[in-house]
Amino acid sequence: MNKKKVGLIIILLLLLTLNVFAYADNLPQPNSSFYVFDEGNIISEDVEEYIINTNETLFRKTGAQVVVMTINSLGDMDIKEYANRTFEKWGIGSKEYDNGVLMLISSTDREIWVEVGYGLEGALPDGKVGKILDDYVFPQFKDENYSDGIFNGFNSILSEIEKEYGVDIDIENPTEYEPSINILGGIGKIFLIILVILFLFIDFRFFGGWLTFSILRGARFSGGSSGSSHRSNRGGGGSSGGGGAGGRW
Amino acid sequence: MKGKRSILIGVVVLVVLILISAVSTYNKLNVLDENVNSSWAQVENVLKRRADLIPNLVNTVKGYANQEKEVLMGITEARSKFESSSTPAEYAQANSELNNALTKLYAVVENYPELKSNENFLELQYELSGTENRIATERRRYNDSVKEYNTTIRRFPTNIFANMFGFDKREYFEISPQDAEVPEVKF
Repeated sequence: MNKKKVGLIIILLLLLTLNVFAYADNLPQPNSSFYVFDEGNIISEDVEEYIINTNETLFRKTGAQVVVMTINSLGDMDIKEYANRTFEKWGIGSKEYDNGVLMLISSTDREIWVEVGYGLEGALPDGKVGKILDDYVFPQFKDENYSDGIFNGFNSILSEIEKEYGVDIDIENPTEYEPSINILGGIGKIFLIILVILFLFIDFRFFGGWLTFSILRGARFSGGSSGSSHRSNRGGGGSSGGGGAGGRW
Repeated sequence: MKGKRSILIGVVVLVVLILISAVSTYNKLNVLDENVNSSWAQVENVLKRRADLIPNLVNTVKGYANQEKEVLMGITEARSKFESSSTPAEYAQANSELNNALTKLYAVVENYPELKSNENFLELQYELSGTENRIATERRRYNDSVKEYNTTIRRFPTNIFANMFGFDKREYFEISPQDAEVPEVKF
């Protein structure tokens, strides 16, 4: 009896620390689509869909990820630091190659920063990113055509990545990737819940909850989980060193 | 007899425990120390990267504003300080001198509209500001790793072993607030 109580308290404490870890900063959490985070609500539906689909193919072929994020305001944070910390937190790009890109746009500050992961610094040197912004993004942004500017900028960055890896991202049939995700939907989900309950029962009955604690401890170090929706993309664990370009419009 | 034996076992267990914790502390400190080294290597890397961009910048400016000899000399001189730096404090000094020299340059650039719209010059501006951000990022990571290392070697009982094995405090890479503001061209 007593053991169970102690166990419960420990679980509660662990959950509390998990929460503390998750909300220690004011940076946004990745949403389930991962690739588009549109707090500023300036990206049109089809551009959003296009970016997500393209990324899913790109990630499967190269491990690279290009995340587009719009926020309402930076608060008192510098856009470069905001981008760098978000990049780190989300783990954009694959862990082996650090080949992620984050396009961060703050609509009220009228500021953009494109942060490039370590592994893409060769394909996307700061000067080139700056030129992409000057040629394709700022002219559109100045006319308040945010969606078009993002679309153009995204495509220019994408084509540099395609060149780097010698691949061609065909967005005509983006549905390729879907079926494998749907396995966990519907009946699969119920089955999973039953399995978890069974596991907890056996663990606490015979091992005093030891297995559960180890898993919880493990989860704390590997850092959180992703949301549950039909899409569940997430970062590959890549990091960046502050390279990239940006400016105001 | 029995009492003696259990004392002996107790002593052996104690010695083994101390040995185990000494070894694990030593290993942990080495990992942290190596972390500091590798993040410093990253800082040095990006500082050098900034210095490497300078000759290119000077050449581009020369094409349009060759008469600004003094300003250009100042930049080249500040750059050469990087070569002779080795400690974080020396690098911070060199970096801040380069900042001052660049601020002077950007003040005169205002008088050369053609230079300001030169493609190469624009690209260099992006490279420089990206590199300055890299320095800020790697500096933050380096200082985080130093902080972790320094607090660990001061914590009890780790400090006893740290002293024994000769692990010393590491130096932060500090930049004065006005140098954290990097010079920028106003377009």
